[in-house]
Amino acid sequence: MTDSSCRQFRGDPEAFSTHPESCVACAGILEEITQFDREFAAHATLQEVPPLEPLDSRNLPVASWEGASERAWPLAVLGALALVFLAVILFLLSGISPTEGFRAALMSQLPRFELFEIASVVGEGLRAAPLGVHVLILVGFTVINLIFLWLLRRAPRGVDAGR
Amino acid sequence: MRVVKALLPLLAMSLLVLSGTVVLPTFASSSGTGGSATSDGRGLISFGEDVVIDSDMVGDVQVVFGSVKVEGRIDGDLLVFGGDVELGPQAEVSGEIVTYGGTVSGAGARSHPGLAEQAGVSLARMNDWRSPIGYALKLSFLVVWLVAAVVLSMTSGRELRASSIELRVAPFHAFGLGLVAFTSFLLTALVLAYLLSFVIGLPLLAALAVFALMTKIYGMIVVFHAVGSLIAAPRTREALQKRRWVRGDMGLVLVGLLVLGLVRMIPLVGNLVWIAASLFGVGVALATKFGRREPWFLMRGLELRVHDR
Repeated sequence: MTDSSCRQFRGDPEAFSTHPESCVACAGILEEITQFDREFAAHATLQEVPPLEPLDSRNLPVASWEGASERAWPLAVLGALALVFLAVILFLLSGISPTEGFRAALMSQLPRFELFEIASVVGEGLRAAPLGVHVLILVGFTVINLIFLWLLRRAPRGVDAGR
Repeated sequence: MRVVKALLPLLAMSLLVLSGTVVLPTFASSSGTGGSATSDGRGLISFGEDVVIDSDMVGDVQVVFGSVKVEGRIDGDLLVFGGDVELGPQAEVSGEIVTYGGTVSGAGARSHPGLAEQAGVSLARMNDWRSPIGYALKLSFLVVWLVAAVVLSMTSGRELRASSIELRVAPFHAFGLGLVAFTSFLLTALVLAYLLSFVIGLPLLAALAVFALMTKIYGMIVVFHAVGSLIAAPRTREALQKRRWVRGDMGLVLVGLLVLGLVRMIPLVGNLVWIAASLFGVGVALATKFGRREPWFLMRGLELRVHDR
């Protein structure tokens, strides 16, 4: 068979469907393709589409903002009462007035003027310190604050990173 | 170039402080070993050495990173930072005795009126795990924290939530930033302590104290929220609808507060956990700019790239 008739068959197999009868090479190619089609058809079965179940929104994951504005007042009130009750018992066991105890606890949480007095003492004391201490403090101040600024430049990932 | 720009204000501040230490009047040196002590006849200032007051002294005695033993009379205040005070039988201090990071002991301590007043409720006893006062004070602190947590979760729930998510997504960054921020606050306070003699020193130090306090309070409440979310956040809508007590940001914050508060009651470990929580909190408060999720600095490079598009 001539190459031109082979090219015609390979260009349009349906129009020249009689060509393989007279050409061994093209008959081989046709047989190979037919065999591949048979094997593909044998293995490629259509997957069964599972029936759609009705969507139950109650089982969907809850977003962080859902219900976030609701207030847990019972927990707040009962929690506070329980803590106060336990603290009062312990103060009484120690022989200390609960009022005095709570006052001391509250005052210790607030910034006191005493802190400035302490800072003043440290400042005065530092002025009497050797030069090496000044240099150490200034180098530490510069280095730590540079690291601090560098870390602050990183943008928060938070919500964008997902959970 | 950007590094130089960031470095300049820090260097300027350092030079200002260094020049302040040189320009400000210093006292004539007195005897001492190991550290340095100065006295001008109107008191004594010491840094890094132990001091013994065995004769009468007029003026304030200020000791930093050293201990004091008082055998005579001080006609003024006794202020000690990072050291102990020992009052002998003949010791007498006409003014106040203020110590930070140390204890006051000795025969004279019992007769000092100011110290006798403190003996009732001493915050130093808070960490004594054998004493019920310690637990009572910790519970009292928790009540203060609870009030602050309720107020903040009512006023800034969205910000708390954003910071809480950030803490759970990037905990190591928050911890690292918290550690560096805490060190920075301490060193900045130390540097500002130099400037207290100038007018600008006090307001700067006050601003730093307020900022550090705000950061700590906000950060701790974020940690409460994050712990509460890990333990008790509803995973599905059905679970959310079934909830009766632990609902919303306030519920999660309260759960976290109560859990961490209970952990704090454990001797030694509790305090370490609380300190670690503080570092996480300070870090995440700063990382998210108090939940606003805005950059602290304008990024010029990013701005230009956006304009190019």
